[in-house]
Amino acid sequence: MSATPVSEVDIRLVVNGEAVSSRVPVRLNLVDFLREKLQLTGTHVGCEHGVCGACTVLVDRRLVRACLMLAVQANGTVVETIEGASASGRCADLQRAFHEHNALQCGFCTPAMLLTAADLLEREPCPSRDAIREHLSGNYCRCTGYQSIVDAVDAVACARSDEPGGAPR
Amino acid sequence: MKLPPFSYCVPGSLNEALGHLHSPVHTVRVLAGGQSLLPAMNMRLSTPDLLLDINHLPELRGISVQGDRMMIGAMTRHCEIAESTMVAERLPMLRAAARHIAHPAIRSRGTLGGSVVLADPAAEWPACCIDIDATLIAESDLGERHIAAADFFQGMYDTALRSDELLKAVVFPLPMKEEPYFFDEIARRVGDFAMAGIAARATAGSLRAVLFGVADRPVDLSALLPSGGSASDEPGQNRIDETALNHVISRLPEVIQPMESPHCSASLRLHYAGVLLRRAVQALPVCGAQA
Repeated sequence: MSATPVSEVDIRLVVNGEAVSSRVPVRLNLVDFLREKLQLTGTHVGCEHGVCGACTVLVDRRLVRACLMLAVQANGTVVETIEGASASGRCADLQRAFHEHNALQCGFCTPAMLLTAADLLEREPCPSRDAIREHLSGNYCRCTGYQSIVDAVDAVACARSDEPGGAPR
Repeated sequence: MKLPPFSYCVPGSLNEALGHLHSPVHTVRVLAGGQSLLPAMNMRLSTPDLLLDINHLPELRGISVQGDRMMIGAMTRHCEIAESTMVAERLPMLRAAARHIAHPAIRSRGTLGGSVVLADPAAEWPACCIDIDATLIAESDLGERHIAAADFFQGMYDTALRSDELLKAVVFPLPMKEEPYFFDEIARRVGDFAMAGIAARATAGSLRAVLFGVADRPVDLSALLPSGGSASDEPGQNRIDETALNHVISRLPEVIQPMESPHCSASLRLHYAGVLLRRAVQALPVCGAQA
């Protein structure tokens, strides 16, 4: 990285398992980099100031707001977007449950909701409905009223815990 | 909105970072977690022409215990404090407070030092720092400066940190034995800015409480609360019964003059301050009437 002031930087990172390198303006945020340079448009741009949660991705396995991180700050990191989580099947049961429970209408918030829900279930396999609400509190949905989203995440938590080796409820 | 144009640099050492702080040609802002600075820049509330990214200085990160103090590096992230077993065991109030800071995705990036230096009136860490009597360690070309948390927060977004200084770490004194604590806040939604909040602990037989979100800076209630600590104090002498509590609550307007805002009137904030103080007294048996 640069010890003297610059306006463009070469970055290398891993996105959804693939090594990526690019020259980026320092003012470019991570979500615009993902969408416009890499054409990964599953990550959405809503408010652009960290409020709506639509741009949520994983950086080094932690949820972050991709609108509140510069692309240059992702240098050397491992990024996962909904495209990666979807292709790996990691959130397939959540996607199915969202469909079955009508946990989406327009779908704008859905990619970030899925990543955030998947993160919760990895950290806490059997969350209470309150814990689900708390973990999803940073993600706005303007269609569903949230009830059906909580239902879907709760259903997946129950189903996973019924599998052999699942966490007891 | 997108970020305005700026230059960016990643200093390789603390000294190099300090050198950039008094640049004659640049308006410099330090980029810590960026969870408040980047939105402020998007909205053109802050328009630095040089961003100094201090995310790659290992000496600013980490949690360690040295004797009767815990030192937390300024660039330690909220999630790291929330997940630290050392914090959970020795300073559980910090763990409780971390849960209230925004949302998980914000806690992944936001830092202790960033929050302390920003000094948002509704922020959790400044209140904890004052309640626990933390010391803030600032570094400049002139050397290290230790600032008591009680003297650090000087108003809305205003602190004792000089423009040539970087906050290096926060040092929390550890209690000799476990102290019951209480941390709570009232917000319309989990993770929203608090309309009122409280950080409180029972120490030396009395209640130490700091309110936040109700004034331009955290408010230490020590002047209103019965104080303990002297060797001659009978155990329980400083308990706060219902009458005493009502009296303290009635005197809150002497120390806090809450601000009006579109979503929360000053009188509602004042009411919430009283509600939280009551909860703290009830939750901390050493202070409460029923103990």
